[in-house]
Amino acid sequence: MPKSLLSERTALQAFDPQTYMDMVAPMIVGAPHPAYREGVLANLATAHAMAKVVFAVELDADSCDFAGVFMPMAADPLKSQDT
Amino acid sequence: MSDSDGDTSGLDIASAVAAKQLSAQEAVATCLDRIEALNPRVNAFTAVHKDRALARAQAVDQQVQSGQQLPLAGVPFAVKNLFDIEDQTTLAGSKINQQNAVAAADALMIQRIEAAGGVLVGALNMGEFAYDFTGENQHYGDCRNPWNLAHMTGGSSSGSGAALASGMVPLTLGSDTNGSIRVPSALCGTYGLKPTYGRLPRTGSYPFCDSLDHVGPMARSVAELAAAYNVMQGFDATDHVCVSRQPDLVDVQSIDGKTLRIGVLQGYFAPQEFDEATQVVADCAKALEAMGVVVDECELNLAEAGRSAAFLITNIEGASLHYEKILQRADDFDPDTRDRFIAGSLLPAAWYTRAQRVRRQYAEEAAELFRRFDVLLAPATPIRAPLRGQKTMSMGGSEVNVRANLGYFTQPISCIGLPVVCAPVMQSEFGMRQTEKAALKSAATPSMGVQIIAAPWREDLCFKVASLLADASITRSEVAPVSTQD
Repeated sequence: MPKSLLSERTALQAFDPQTYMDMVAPMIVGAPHPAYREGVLANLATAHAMAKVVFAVELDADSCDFAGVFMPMAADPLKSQDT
Repeated sequence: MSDSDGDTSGLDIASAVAAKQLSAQEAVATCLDRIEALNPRVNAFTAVHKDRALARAQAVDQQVQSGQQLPLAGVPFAVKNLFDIEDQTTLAGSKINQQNAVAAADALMIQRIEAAGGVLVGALNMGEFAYDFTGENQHYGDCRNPWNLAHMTGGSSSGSGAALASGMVPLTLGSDTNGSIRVPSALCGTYGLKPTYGRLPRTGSYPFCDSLDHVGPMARSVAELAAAYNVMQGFDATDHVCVSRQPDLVDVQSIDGKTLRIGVLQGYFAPQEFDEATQVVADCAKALEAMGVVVDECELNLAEAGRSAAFLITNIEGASLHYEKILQRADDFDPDTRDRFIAGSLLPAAWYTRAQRVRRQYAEEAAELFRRFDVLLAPATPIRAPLRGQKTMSMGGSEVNVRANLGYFTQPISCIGLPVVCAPVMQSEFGMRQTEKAALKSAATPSMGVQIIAAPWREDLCFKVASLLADASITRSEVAPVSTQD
């Protein structure tokens, strides 16, 4: 990685599904079985295309990361309104 | 009351049972006979719980005899097999889940429908782990479109659509993460509701992608859909995204349709190559305009980004849910699902968080649009039901994967949790030019769908527009004439 940061979009342009799979998969899921490779590569390519669309959106200045699935847990479970 | 054709509405059954003109046991027995006759052809059910259903029907008859008012008295219904059924293993369309323990209790949605008098008759086929728009399933066999058994039902709530369209049951439950209620509703010719995200508790249903999962009813009429939705509502703290609010019971008569402002989505939702899908929407808009409703065109500029965000969020959350099983039992997955989960396991976290941020910004754009419009219209699927086994479809000048793209129009809407009623438009509807009618008649399956979309928590407006279109016979659902013979 260079000292100066790449832009997000430049980094996305550099993404190559095959190189990425061969480097990353052995450390996450193991090297994909030959029977899986074509399907996994096709899906990585689709995900890459989707990521390019997502990263092309100019986010509002006040945009922040949202934890999509986190909710604080109450000490006591809430009572259902149905009961 | 005879229902040998399977086209008696659930509400007619409930009225007859309440009036003691029909017993719940008779209604359920007729339903079970029809399932036995047709399911070998359609493959909508993966399990039929005959003893439970007959016992429950007997209990409903006793409740009616004792004077209880039950809005769904004796109405047989079935659920996508990702809903827990007490003492049964929740398969979620998979082989892997066969080894799981049986469920300790029914899913909350089953409990609520049965508390209203409904009778659960069985579990329905679905795409593996709900990651599917086709209705194909390697483990339990493809679900077949009752209008033409060679064609897809759509998915992943495949059995939910096919069981309705074949008249096996008048009411089903499905789930919708990216379009899994709406796609089979459109391709099988039934109504489906994907409610506001957080409206209906998912308690006791097998998850897929927590950020996007919804559950909802499917039926053959707007009135049946609304009746089911009304009894399914209510807060439940067990589902952490369920929002604490009182049920908003649907009463379409209380809404003046002429005050509605309808937006017909253009741009992403109106590509020229899917002219039949856009024509369906145009015809609905024209009919509403003729009723005095204000109709105009509009756009959601971030729809494509929203669809892409939904794709990434689904891929990454789904893969995370199944990560351990992917490591241990990859060959027990359907190959299409497996390869998607492996890829999802590898994607960068930055893509996920960016997708969630884009989702938020897109929701804000939609909120602005709902200042101008009460309801938006969009197609449900790009094309009619493809042939089973068909892998690609034409899109943007190239062949693209069917499994991923049947949800092209649905995915951007569920991404931001908007409520949608998907209404079926059958062939030879009004307003078609002769050439279009000829094309429709030659199609192998007759239905497409229109998405009727409202702002969060305004399901009532979706139902109002759906009922206007149904009353004008623009949208309708019929029982397909499934032969029991080859």
